[in-house]
Amino acid sequence: MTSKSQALSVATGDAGGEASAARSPKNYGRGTAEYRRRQDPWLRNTGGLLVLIACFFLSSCESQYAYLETAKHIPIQHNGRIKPLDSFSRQTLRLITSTENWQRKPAIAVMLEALSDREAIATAKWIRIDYFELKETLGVPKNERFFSAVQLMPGQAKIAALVQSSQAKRGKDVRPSRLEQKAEELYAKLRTLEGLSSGESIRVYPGGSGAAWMSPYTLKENLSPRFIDLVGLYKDKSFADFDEQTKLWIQKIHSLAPEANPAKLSAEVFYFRLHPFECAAAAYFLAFLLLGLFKRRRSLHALGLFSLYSAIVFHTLGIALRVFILSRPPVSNMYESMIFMNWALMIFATLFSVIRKNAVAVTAGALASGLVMLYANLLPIDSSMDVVVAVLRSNYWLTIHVMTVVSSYGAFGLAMALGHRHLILKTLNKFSPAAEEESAHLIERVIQLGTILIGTGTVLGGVWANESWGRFWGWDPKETWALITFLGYLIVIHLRYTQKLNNFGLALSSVLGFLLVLMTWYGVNFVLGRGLHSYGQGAGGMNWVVYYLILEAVFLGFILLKK
Amino acid sequence: MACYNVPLMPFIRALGSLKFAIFLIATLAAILIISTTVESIHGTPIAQKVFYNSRWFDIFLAFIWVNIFCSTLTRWPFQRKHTGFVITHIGILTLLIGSLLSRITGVEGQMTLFEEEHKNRMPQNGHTLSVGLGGKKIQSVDLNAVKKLPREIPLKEAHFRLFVTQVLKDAEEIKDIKEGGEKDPVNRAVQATLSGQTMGVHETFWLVQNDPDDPHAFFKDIGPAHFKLESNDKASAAKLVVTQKNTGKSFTMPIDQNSAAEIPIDNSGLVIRNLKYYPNAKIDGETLANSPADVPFNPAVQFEVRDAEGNIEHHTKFFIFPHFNSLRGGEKADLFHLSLRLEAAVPEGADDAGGPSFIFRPAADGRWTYRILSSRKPPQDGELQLKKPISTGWMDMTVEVNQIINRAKVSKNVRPAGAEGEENYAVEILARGKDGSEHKEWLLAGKALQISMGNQNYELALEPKSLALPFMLRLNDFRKIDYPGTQNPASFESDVVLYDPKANLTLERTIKMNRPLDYKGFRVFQSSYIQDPEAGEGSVFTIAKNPGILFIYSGAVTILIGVILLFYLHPFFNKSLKEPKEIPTAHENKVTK
Repeated sequence: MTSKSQALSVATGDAGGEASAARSPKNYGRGTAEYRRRQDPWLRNTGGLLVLIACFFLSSCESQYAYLETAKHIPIQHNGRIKPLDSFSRQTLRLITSTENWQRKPAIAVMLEALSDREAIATAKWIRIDYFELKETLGVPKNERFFSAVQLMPGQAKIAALVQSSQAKRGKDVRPSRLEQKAEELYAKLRTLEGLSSGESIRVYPGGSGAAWMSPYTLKENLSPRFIDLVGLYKDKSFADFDEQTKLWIQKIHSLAPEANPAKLSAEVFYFRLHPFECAAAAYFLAFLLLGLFKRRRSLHALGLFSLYSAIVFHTLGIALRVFILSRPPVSNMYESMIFMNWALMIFATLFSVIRKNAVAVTAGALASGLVMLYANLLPIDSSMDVVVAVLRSNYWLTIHVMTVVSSYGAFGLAMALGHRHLILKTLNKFSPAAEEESAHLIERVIQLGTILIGTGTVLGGVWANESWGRFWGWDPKETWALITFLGYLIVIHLRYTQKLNNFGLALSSVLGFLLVLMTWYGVNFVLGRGLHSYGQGAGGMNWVVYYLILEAVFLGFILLKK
Repeated sequence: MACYNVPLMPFIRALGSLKFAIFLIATLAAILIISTTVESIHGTPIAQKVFYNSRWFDIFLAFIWVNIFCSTLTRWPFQRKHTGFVITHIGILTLLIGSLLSRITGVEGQMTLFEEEHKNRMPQNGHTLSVGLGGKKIQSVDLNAVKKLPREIPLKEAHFRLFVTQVLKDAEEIKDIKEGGEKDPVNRAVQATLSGQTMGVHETFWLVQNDPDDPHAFFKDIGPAHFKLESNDKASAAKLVVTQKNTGKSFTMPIDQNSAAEIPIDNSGLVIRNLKYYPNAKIDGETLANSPADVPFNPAVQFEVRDAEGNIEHHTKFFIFPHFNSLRGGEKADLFHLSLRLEAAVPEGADDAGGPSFIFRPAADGRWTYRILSSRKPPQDGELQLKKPISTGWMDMTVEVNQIINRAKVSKNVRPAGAEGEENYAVEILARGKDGSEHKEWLLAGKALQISMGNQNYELALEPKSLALPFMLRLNDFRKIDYPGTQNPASFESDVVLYDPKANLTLERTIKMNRPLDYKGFRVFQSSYIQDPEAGEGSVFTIAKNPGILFIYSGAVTILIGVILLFYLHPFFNKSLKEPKEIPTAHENKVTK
């Protein structure tokens, strides 16, 4: 995918090293019209703004449910954290149905409906099962995708047996079979439904300082208004009353429970409405297309830059919101590390574009960044905002270590994108000698940056390990693979220093080197599956990585054949 | 660069060449790829042993050091343009030296402390075999150091020679039951197999009337089914066997009733008095009482031991708990060094569980019978025949007798457990007296063994290796703090007291995850915890000493400074060179010059 779009980008353009017009003084005064356009690109480019605004509103087209806005803010304790009811509903619904918009209704509406008719929770066909073998084992219709808890009842003993054998295997450090993993997932879904239908998991009622919150369904509430009455109002469709009473309820809870921070709750509701990363991904792709395709058309080029800046703003905002809501560094699980990796990638790309006064880095970076973001949302990894295991909590060295290492992945990702660009342009004979030299120099600089970062990051990991358990280096697979990656790029740097590696070889190594990064980042946990760093990671997504590897192999085969 | 007429120069140049460097880096990367793959397939310990902790890996890393050292050396005398290069490479050299230092002199181990417990030793990998005489340790040997077998354990002034003949890392203790000779007492044993398709049962087991180490050997429960070997001998009177631990002499006395009289223990000067015998003891508050038959058979004996000076020890011994310390709780140290054994024969019917039972009934003429009891059906009797499955009537289960022994000798043996077993060390020792008599026995980790040689009792023990720490650590309280509303731990905390006897210093600290306690170069980390309903709460601490860490840190910082100079400030250093023509660009070949 990478290669194709990049081929598109360069097909129309000239030498890749060409500076972006906005910064190159020699393009001034080509003609008055051109000049005027340069002077005032914003006027013509309000279109871009409209696109982004549309993007924003499309992502939150829940206006017909305006009366639910207040209810979204109801604080609830779930998975060790106080979150808004909206967040809880989305997460629960995603777990059960794999989507946040069940039957085209927003999650909060689905949740309130479920609470107002709790008997229907068990009979509704909304538990998604995709795995064929599991359906077969449970003896449910294989051509259906959604099932009800009642339907699955006869198979409960089988699920329990599978979960047990799976846990026994995990205890022995053996990977459970796919069927067992899927059974575990289904078991989690059923447990969640159980919590909903008994009302036990609706912990909206503060339990006093430090204690667990309680559910009004298991403990009689002596508050006014009562939560159960709120749900009743919703059921009766008296939405105006519902809204008003909900406001009172939230006020009451905040006065009772200082641990529920209204600003954080609002930020979380805003975060989910905004979909900052989806917006950023869309804007990155747009920026790539505009910057890559329209090098001569100043207005479109400027629009591309605008789109790029908006993407970075959305991206940064998303990360900042997560940091604010969770009060923790933005690199605590695989999803966050992917998001942070391509943020670092874009920051470096922007930096290099500014230093080298051309848009090469940002154009290639925008595509890579957009793809990583797409991947982050495609992979079946945990994007929820749940608490982290104890060892990962609030540690200075850990935070610096992970952020440095993940930003090195960003730098290598940028080098990889630039490497692809270089290989394509070279194969298509679109390079002027100067542009080729510039491109290679850029790649080399980016690789140098990445190598410094991964070296520093790995040493910082050692510092953390030494501070945490007294051992600087332990040959843990993750650190060993970071070292392998470091050594790989070290060879490239040394060869380059002694002019033993030509520009083509450099570009090729930047692409191949990223495979080492991928192994360190993802493979150690999922392929090798051992070691200390297994926490903070989701499972699965192997097929997507394999697709990438196949595409890359095809691309490299093509390039090498053409050479 | 200037050329020197040092004879070794070409050699140094070759060692410090870039080609060699790239070869080393690439080989290291390849080795690490293989090692992580091996770790993934065969587990961490194997990878550590074959790769990271092996001698050849150290030598390989040493070559990298030599390469960097030589390549730095070949640039002498250093010029301004070499600043970044030299600083970076000196940093790497320092870092590697630090790693070596840590590897050789570093200490790491785990200490488990329960609340209110204190320790000043830390277990290490491996085991030591220690030999004691009269409570004094006279020799101890590190088993890791034992490479060739058999290996003699040197003992001073001993009347015998001691050898280690076998070492097992995955030992498993098994019972060996054999037919004894005509002289051996009658001791019946039966081996049978219970099998059933429906429940997927297939289990072979032994029942023995009299096993010196296991009074329960005469019955076995498999699921709800109860198997018992009946004794046709009349319940004989109970016997108390008192052994003096330092001399090994035993004294046996029959007991059938309470007796207030003083009974001398041979000619040791000790007397037993106030003896109370409970054929079926029941703990009633803090005293023992005889219970009616509603509790299982449980003989016990209680008495005092007194010496000539009037010192008194109180003992309570239960038949079914032969390994329990008999000394009354709270009593001071073992004054008289006595070891007790209570022997009793189990009366018939004392252990009937009421559920499905299978009873093997031996007969003097060798014609054994069986009886099957079932809660619903009347008892079923029959003659027992070897290798003939008997249908039990409990689902589709059958019992087949494989072996019948009338004069069984029970001995213990040790064998390798195979890959699945947990690590469990055992050594086989051979004691050879001056008269040529030999004594061979297995010793399991954590267990002790007594051997009598030349009228003296030697105690052998196989213990995990441990390291003395310069301080005593005590755990006062362990706390696990959960994320609110969940069982997921958010933090672990331990309140500890550290006491250094030399400095007479006491420190009270709280150790948390990521917040260790530092003392005299040692760091104490919270690495895990124990929450056990029976054993209570406890912490697992990692204690480490890492003497090379300063080198490692300073090396790392040096590398970073060097690299920044090299990559980003390089032009600055080059510009100030005197001959402007020789300014190399970033791509210019510097090494081969």
